[in-house]
Amino acid sequence: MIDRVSLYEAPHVHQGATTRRIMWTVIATLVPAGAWAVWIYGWRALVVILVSVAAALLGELIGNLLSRRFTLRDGSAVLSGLLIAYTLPAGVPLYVPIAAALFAMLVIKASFGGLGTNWMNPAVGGQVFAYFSWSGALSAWVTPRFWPQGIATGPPLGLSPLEYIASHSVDGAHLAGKVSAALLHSYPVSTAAEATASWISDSLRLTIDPHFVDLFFGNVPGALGGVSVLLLLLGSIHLFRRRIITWQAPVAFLTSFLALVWVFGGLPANRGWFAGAPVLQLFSGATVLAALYLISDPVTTPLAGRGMVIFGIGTGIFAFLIRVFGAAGESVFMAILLMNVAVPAINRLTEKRLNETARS
Amino acid sequence: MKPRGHKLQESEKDERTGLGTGLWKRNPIVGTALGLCPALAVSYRVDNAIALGAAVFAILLLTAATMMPIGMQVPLRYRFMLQLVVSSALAAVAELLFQAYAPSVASRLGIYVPIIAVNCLVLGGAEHFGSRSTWGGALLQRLIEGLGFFVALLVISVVREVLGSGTITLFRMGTFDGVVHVGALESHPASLFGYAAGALIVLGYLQALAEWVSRARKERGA
Repeated sequence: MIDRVSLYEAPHVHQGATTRRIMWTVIATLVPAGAWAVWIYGWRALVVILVSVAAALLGELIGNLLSRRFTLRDGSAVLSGLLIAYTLPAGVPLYVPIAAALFAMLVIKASFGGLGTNWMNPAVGGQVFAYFSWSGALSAWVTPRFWPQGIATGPPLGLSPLEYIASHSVDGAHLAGKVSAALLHSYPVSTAAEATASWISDSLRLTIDPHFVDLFFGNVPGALGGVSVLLLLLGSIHLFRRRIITWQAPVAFLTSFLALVWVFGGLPANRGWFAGAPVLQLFSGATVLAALYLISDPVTTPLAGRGMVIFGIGTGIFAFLIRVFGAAGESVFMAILLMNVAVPAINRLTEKRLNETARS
Repeated sequence: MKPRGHKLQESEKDERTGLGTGLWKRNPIVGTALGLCPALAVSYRVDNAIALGAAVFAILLLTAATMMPIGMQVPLRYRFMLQLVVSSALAAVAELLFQAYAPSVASRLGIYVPIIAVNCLVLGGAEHFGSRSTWGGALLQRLIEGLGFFVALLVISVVREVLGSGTITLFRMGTFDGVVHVGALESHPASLFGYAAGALIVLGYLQALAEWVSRARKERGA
């Protein structure tokens, strides 16, 4: 019981023992998604993960030596390194995770005083640093194990679903194209997914695009940890139960993001209102990874529940704008960084509403 | 953490104009944060930074030197306008010189040369000018400021270009083509440092370093 109370008070994580337990719990729930990535993309995925974690630990150690405050064992550096690797493709050159993790630990975290005092989410910042520095390397996708064998002659070996749709449309504006079935029809799909989709349509009388099945299970070229929506959801159930993740930010983020995609997503492709593809956007571009694991960082998000809602809605709006009207598939990361900037303001706003007498 | 305004006042009271203090504590870029926009916009290449730094240095010094003999004859309220005329003229001269002798630099620096006329650093001089008692002191002050601007810009640009492009671009001299190549960074540079975000990150570290140095110095003095 005491356990539960102290865990619920997420902003107070800078108490040693609790922080450590939360961090290692989060890491444990991330393991299935990573194991899946290693299985479908091969050992290269494991190398990326290990290199990223090692670089994060090295960065944390350097930061600790400079500040003479040792936090290496609290797991936060391991978690940041892991999350950075989870946002990268399996074929990424290894200098990218190294540089991103060192940047995250030293520039974003240690420079501002270490764990608890950094205003920007280190993992997300490292990812965005890598994106702006080596954007080409960040689409070094690896073809998953369960794709049909004959696709070498098919269209887009090296493209993720979002990139494929982008490459297919006119004027470069279509990321959210209509119902993705229309645009994804020639995209590779596994036989297992086709079987599952037909089983669902037979037994439940629901028509499902088999591509969505592949996307949901994580059988497409994608970011290591973000690709398997199913395993991320399963892993996070434990975190929700322990209240390490609260529901406000993820729900607010997904609601605003998906609603905006649905309403306005079709406009850039001249398909009119209410023609976006929310399911496609939900299952691709590491949206679920961001919603469950990146948006819930206790240090760089608002303290109160109401603030979390504002934070989530804002992240959804920016993610929608950048993904649908910009070009970046990794829009959720940039959206989180933009909202990190607003966190002190959100905290102030919600604080005053909660306690009117505190106004000075 | 002390508010910034307080710190500025404190350094204003500090009457020492030694070279070290001027270069660190009152350094336009790392100390008082003046003239940042052009500095950050062009500092992605070292040759840009050298050219802009030299132009600002020269205009700063020549404006002060021109204003000194005539400034005292002019009532205080017109002095500012007069200085603006002088600095605009000098900036126009600088732009023409760049176009004549270094057209590629001129095209890269673009608007940032003409607007040296209204550079905070140059304008700020007008305020300082009235309060300085001696011509020599005022001139020395401008000299140190210009030098500080130049050095800070050079440091920022070297860091940015090495990390962001993997090169150091200087000027063509004889057989030297003007570009120093920095190993493996050139094939996979961290392009972020070529963008404005990278400029601000480097600037932040430089300011932190300056703060750290001045704090350490204060502790040693006390």
